[in-house]
Parts: sequence; C-alpha cells; structure tokens
Amino acid sequence: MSLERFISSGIIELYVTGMASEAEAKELEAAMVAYPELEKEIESCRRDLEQYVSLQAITPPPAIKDHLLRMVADETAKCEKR
Amino acid sequence: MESDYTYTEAELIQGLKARNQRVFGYLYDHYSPALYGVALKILNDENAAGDTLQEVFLKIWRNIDRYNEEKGRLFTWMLNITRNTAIDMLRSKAHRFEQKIQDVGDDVHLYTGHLAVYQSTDHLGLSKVLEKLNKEQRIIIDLSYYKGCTQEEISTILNIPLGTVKTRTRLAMIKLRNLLKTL
Repeated sequence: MSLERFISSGIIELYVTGMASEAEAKELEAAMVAYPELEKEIESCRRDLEQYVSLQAITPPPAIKDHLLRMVADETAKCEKR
Repeated sequence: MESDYTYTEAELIQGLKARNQRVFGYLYDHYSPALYGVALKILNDENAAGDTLQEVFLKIWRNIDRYNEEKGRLFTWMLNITRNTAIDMLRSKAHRFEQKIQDVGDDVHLYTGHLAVYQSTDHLGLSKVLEKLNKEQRIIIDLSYYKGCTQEEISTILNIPLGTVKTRTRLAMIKLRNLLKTL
C-alpha cells in the first residue's frame, strides 16, 4: 500500500482507537518502517483523541489522593527498612 | 496545589523513577481528572472508577521502570493503563455484552448533569465538540476507545456491516479532529 492509501484507508484511526485487528496492526507497524511519515500521522491522531479524552476530565473525590499518598509513603518506608 | 512549579515530562519521569513522592503528588494533581474521567466513562460507576483510579496510580508508581519513552509519551502510557485496568474491571464485573450498549446510552448523563458538577476543565470546549459530533459518531468513538469493543462487536451492536464500521470510524475521527482544531 502507498503512503496515501494508508492514510485514506482509515487504518490509522482504527489503530489509535484500539480497534485494529492484529493483522491490521502488524501491517501498519511494518509500514511505519517503510514510511516514517506514518508515525507522525499516528502520533497526531493519538494526540487528538487524547485531547478529546482530556476534555472529559472530572475531578475525582479528594479521599483517593490522601489514601494513595499514604500507601505510597508506607511502601517507600518498608522498602527503606529492608 | 502545593506549588506553581511545572515539571517537564522528562523531570516527571526522572522523579518517579527516583521514587520522589512529591513528584507523585504533582502527577496525581495534574493527571487524575483526565484518568478518572476515562475510568468513569468506561465503568459508569463512581465507586468502581475511584477504585480503578487508585489501582492505576499504584501501577504507575510501581511500574514506572517499565515505561519506555521511545514507545510513546507518559500520558499515552498512563491512559493505556487506565483503559486496560477499567476494561478488566468492567469484564470482571461480568457485565453482559448488551451492557456495553446500555452504558453508552446511559452516558448521556455524563454529557449533561454530571459535567456541570464535576467538570474541571474547559467544558465549553467539550460541549462545542459534542454538539457537532452526531450521536452515531460519538457512539462509535466511545465504543471503540472507551469500551474496548472490536470492529465485529461494533458491527453487531450497531447492526451495520464490518466495512461500514471502518468507514464510519474514519469519518467520525476526521470530524472529531477538525472540531478539536476549532477550539
């Protein structure tokens, strides 16, 4: 497949959303070696999807952070004792 | 927030690898809303999303040495951990296949009521995007990205041929990307 064909086939979008089949993913990954521009296309598509995801950010309940920081501090203390 | 200091991605990674708890707190402050949003969207349940978020950050803390900068940005890595953890949780809860469709339908409340309460970022931008993306386009992106559905599953759920799933995904993503450019 030529570079243009790859870009217009929709395979990049499938790959980035995680919908590409194993065969499609392999095909695309192999093509990235032949066309380094593809990697840029994929990364730009991924960044856009991530921007969409970030737009739907929601602040989690504050208790989660306290709990996590305690767990991490305990874990670190245990490691240092050893 | 503790300080106004902004860490670069390289500094964050270095700090995490050095087991710096301050850096971990910063990482949490900056990325937990995006990751919690993802977990909530996948699970549609605040308790389960909270548990997932906690598990995700512990995984980040414990496995930072496995993160490979050459394979992608830190945010991409964290997002993948979040999606995988939440999707595993969804499956372990033995949600039936149909539940996935139900969840997407139920998500309507996330786009409306919940947003007003919890939305921490620029939700004007989001409503602008969602308004212009039609329901079918939104569902196809959400089912694939958030619910981890395969092309075959989406073809069954939406009752459209496999080839159409591909074309529609591409068109939905093109539309989404163009809308994001206008923000």
